[in-house]
Amino acid sequence: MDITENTNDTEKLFSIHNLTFGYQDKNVLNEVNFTINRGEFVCFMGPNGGGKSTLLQMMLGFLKQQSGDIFYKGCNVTEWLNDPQLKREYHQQVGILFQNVDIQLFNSTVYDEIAFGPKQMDIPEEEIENRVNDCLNIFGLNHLKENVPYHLSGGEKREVALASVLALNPDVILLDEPLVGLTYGNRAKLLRVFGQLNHIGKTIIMITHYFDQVKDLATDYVIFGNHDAQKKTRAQVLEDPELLQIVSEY
Amino acid sequence: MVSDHSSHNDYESTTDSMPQWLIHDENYHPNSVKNSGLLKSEGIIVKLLDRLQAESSVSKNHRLHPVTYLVNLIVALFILSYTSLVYVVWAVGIIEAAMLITLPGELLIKILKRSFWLLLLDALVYIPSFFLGTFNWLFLIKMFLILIASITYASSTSVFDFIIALKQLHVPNFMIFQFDIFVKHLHVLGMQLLQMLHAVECRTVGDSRSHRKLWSLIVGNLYLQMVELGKELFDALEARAFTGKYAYMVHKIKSTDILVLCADVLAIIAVIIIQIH
Repeated sequence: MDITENTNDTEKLFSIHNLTFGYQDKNVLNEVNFTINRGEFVCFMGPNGGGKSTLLQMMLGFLKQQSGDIFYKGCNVTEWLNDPQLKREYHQQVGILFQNVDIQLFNSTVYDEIAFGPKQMDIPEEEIENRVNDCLNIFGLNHLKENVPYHLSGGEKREVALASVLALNPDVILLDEPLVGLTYGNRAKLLRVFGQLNHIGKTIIMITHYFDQVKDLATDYVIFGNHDAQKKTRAQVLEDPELLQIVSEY
Repeated sequence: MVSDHSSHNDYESTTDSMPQWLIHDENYHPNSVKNSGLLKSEGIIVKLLDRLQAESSVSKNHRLHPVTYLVNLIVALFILSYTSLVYVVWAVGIIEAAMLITLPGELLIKILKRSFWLLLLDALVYIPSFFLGTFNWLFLIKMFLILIASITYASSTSVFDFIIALKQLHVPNFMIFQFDIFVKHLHVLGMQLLQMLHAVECRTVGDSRSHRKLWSLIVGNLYLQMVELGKELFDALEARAFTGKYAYMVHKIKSTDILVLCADVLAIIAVIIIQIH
C-alpha cells in the first residue's frame, strides 16, 4: 500500500506543523514548525528538557501532541500509525536507535538480533544471511556473531543495535543521543558510519550534545529552547557567533 | 581521529564498503497484517505505570490525613466482614456516603461506576446461590460497600500516602522497606517493559509469527536486567549508609480527620457492644 503517491514534493520527508506539547502544567513545545528533507543530516540540539526526545517520541507515535501535526512523506504520521499495514511500512522506512540500547536487544545471539527485522520481510534466508554479514562488516563485529547481546560491552551493544536497524534498510534513521557514554574512539567510529550512511542517501536525525564532533557532518541543526525549535543550516550556525556560542554550550 | 573522517568528501572513498542493498531504496510493502497481542499489551502497562505514579485525585485542601484514609478502610472492611446485622451495615454505608460526598464530582462518579461494574461481576458469580436457596441480599450490599470503600481508598490516595500511613502506624521499618522497594522495582520494571515493547514495535515490520517466543525473550531479558538493577539498588543504599529509617513529610491532622476517626472508633465500639449483648 502506498499513501504517498499523491505527494508532489517527494524531497520533504518530515514536516512539523504548529506542534504543541506539554506535560500536565509544563509546556515543552509551543507551535513548532520546520521541515526535514531527504538526504539531510539533522542534529537536534538544545538544553535538557528542551523537547528533543519528546519530539522524537511523537515522530514515532509513542507520545501524542496536544495540537499540530507531523507529516511523513506528505501524510500525517497518525494516519501511518493507525493502520497496522502502514505502520509496519513506516517502521521499515523510519529506523530508531534508542538511547538505552538494553531495551533494544532481546534476542539470544547477535545474528538473531540483526536478522529479526529482515526475517519478517519475507526475504530469502540466503539474502538475510548476507544482510546480517554486511551489517556486521560495517562495524567490524563479525567475531561477535554468535555472542549473546546482553553480555556485550556498552559500545558493542550500541553498534549491534544500529546494525539491527540498518538491516531493515530504512530511509530515515533517528538516533537518540547515540554518542553518550562512549569513548572518543567509539564516538568517532559511529560518526564515521553515520557520515557514510548520509553519503549514500540516508536521512539522519540525531539528538546530540557533541557539537564539536558533529559540526562537519551535520547539514542542518534544529535548535531547541524556550518551548521553540528553529531549523538552521550548517552555514547559518557556523557564521553566526551568537548561535555558535549557544550550540557549543549544549 | 574524527577530523580524519569529518568532511563529506572523505566519505566518498569509504562508502564503497557500504553494501548495494543499503544504497538502494527498499520498496517494501508488507502483506495484510493485524496488530499483535504483544503490542496491545502496551496500554495495560501504561495504565499500571500511571497508577503507581499517580498523585491523589483529591485536592490538597480536601485531602484527609493518609492515616485517616487507611484506618477508615480497615474499620469498614473489618465491620462489614464481621457483622451480619442490617443496621450496622447501614451505619457503615452512611459513614462511607459521608466520605464520598467530600470528593470531587468526577471522582465520585468514577468510583460509583467502577463499584457497580465490579458488583455486577460478583453478582454473576453469586447467581447459583439464588437457585440453591441460599441467596442473601445483605451479602451483595456488603460486597458493594466493600468495593466502594476499597475503590475510594485507591482513588483518593497514592502509593506514597500508603507508605506514610504505614510509617505513622508504627509498622516495622523492614516491612515498609520491602514494600517500598517492591513498588519502586515494579515501576522500573514496568517502564523497562514498556520501552522494550516500543523497541519491538519499531522493528516489527511484518508478521512476526512467534509471539510466544518473543515474549519469552523479552521476559528473560527483563529478568536479567532486574537482577542487575536489584544488586545496584542495594549497593547504592549501602553506599548512602541507609539504616532502615524512613524520613517522610509530616501531614497535619485536620478537624475532618478527627471526625472520621471518631466515627470509626464509635462504629467499632457499637459493633463490640451489640455482639456482647
